[in-house]
Amino acid sequence: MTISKLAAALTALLALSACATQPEIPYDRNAEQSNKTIGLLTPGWPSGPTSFLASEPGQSFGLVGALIDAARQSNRDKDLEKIIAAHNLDLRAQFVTRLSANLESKGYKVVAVSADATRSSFAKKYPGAAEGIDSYLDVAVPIYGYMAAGIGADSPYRPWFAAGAKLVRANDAHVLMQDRVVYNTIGEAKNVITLSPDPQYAFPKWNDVEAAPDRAVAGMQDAADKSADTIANLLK
Amino acid sequence: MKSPLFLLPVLALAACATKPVPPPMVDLAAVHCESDLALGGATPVLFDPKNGKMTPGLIDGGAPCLAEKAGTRALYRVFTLPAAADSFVIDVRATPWANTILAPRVLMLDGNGRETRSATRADFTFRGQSLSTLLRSHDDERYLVVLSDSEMLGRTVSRIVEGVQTNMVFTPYAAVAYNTGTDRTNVMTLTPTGRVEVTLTPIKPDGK
Repeated sequence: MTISKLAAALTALLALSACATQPEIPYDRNAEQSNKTIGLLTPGWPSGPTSFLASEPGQSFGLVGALIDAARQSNRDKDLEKIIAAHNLDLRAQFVTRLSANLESKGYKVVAVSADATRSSFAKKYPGAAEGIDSYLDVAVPIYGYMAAGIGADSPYRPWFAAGAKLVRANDAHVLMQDRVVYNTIGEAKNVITLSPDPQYAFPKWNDVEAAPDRAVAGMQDAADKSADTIANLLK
Repeated sequence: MKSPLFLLPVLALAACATKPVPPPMVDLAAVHCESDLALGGATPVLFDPKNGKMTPGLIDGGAPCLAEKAGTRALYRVFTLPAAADSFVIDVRATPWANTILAPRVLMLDGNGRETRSATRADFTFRGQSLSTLLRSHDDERYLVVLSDSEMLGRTVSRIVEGVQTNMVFTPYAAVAYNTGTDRTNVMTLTPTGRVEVTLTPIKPDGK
């Protein structure tokens, strides 16, 4: 991932985290009993995984340090891409399947609706009233992968996943629910639903991720699954 | 005999030692409880029609106790909701208190004290380090009761918290800033007492 791509992802992440001005709006299922069929928009999804070190040593050394950091970041991202490719992992498809199944278990009918998958935040417009669809669920995932707060074994790489979720009424785009979920947060995220990472997916050094690719993939799947379940639970 | 001065470093160390934290209260067997909620003396929740407004509360050992039909006991605190014309979001939070946090649940009551709905542990999620549930306001509801969840008392929750702090090093020629990361595990015991925050945030008519 280049500096600009990472910056865009982090900007989107900030928009999803404590800095966001969009308020959290809970769903009131009793008041929305006619909402039975949800059009699930193709989730906004990043072009690839991110392996983020929050306190890169190069940050202290100006532009040269930033370039070195970016190169190291890019190498880690490529490592993660290779691991994902080697496992034929389609995390977005898995996320959609998990989210749909959970919503259906809560009594909703879920219909896939095509949308721009490259968006990093909520859609600007919704398809409008459509036959058989009562609401649209808009999920934007600006970032996923691994994150470590610092260098050293006491601040290991852990899975990282962030998502915004918004449910709008189909006929007038009235917001019925809006919230944000982050698996493994960094810093204070007072208004975001924060999922604590599973301790079994901790890698003291980046080399440990490469040495245990199955566990690394399982960690990302765990982050995506728990985030999908949390979003579905917002509509219970 | 040696001078007693040799004891000074030991005394200094003892003075610096962390005081032991008493075990959290998790048993309500000895607490006097009533079979009905006492709605008198409820705390009014602050409301600003333009911005979110938070009202703090505390459930401590002196809080009223409810003896429930199931035989369980719960400490509680009652809040009164404003009769606002606009819809608002009610955010009920239990916030950490040392290494403990209230095991929360919520009852919503109408003006006659009748229960209209509730929020149980399945409705609470962590937002930051607080346990929170969000509810949309209902016109007929006047009381919000935050209670302890007797089935959760004494259990622990473990949370991994990551952070970054910026440090400065000053040299005769320059000041250098560098970041260090922290990764720690917070373990909190769920208790019948703790700090509570109730925040009301207006919802705009378009729902945004």
